[in-house]
Amino acid sequence: MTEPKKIGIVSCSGEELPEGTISRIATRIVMDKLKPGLTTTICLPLFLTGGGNEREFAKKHPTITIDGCEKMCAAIATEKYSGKPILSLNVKEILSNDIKNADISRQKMGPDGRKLAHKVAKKIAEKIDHYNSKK
Amino acid sequence: MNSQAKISLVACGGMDKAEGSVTTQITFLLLNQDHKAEIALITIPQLCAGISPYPTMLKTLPVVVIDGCGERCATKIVARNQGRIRIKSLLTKEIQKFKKRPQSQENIGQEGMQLAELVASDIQSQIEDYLKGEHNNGK
Repeated sequence: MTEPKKIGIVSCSGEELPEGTISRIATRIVMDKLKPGLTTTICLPLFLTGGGNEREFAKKHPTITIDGCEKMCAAIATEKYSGKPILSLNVKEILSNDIKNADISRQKMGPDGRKLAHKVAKKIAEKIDHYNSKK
Repeated sequence: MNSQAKISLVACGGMDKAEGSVTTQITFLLLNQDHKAEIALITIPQLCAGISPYPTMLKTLPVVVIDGCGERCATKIVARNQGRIRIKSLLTKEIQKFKKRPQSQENIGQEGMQLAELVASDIQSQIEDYLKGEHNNGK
């Protein structure tokens, strides 16, 4: 059995909305707690400028994009510079009504924000399991 | 788009290093202060994905750039999109200047937060000076 390839997570770094902050936290939870060793983050600014090994990595490895909103900037940019992500998630869509009732801001997440980030992280982890089981 | 905006802000939001987490905090601080209406945030993903109206906004307004590390991604992206950089900050230099070091990318810690506050305040003063100069030149 071949080892699953490391998956690169490209997260929205949007400072404009709380969903951008949630996507950053969720990415870290996946990387550090739910799928350590199986995932890595791709630094979006570095990837976009073509610096480091980010684009090279994204060309050779599957990628998942986590966007904060429907603009889907991370997904669009990833497809433009490396290839189609295996999965593109929109945090706003995943959380829909949950986020409207949450006591959060883009700067301060608090317990509500952490809970929402965990929900998104679990969804990402499920998708990774699903992707690896199909291979 | 913020129609009152007089200056735009492009900051590294990189998740790879603690510096990126501090630049994100600086952005939040700048957008939460009294003059926030004068600042239009242009995020790097929006700009690179070509989402309207951000590329046009970048060409129209003077730009404040905050880079996290020596890669200077924010500066490169602004230059590539023909933005006019008027105020610059590089976090690795600010760390030396203020002698405050962020803890990690997940948690910038108390020193990281203090650093963010100091840099945000410094940039805010530069923005005020710049806009004052622009205003006087326009008279």
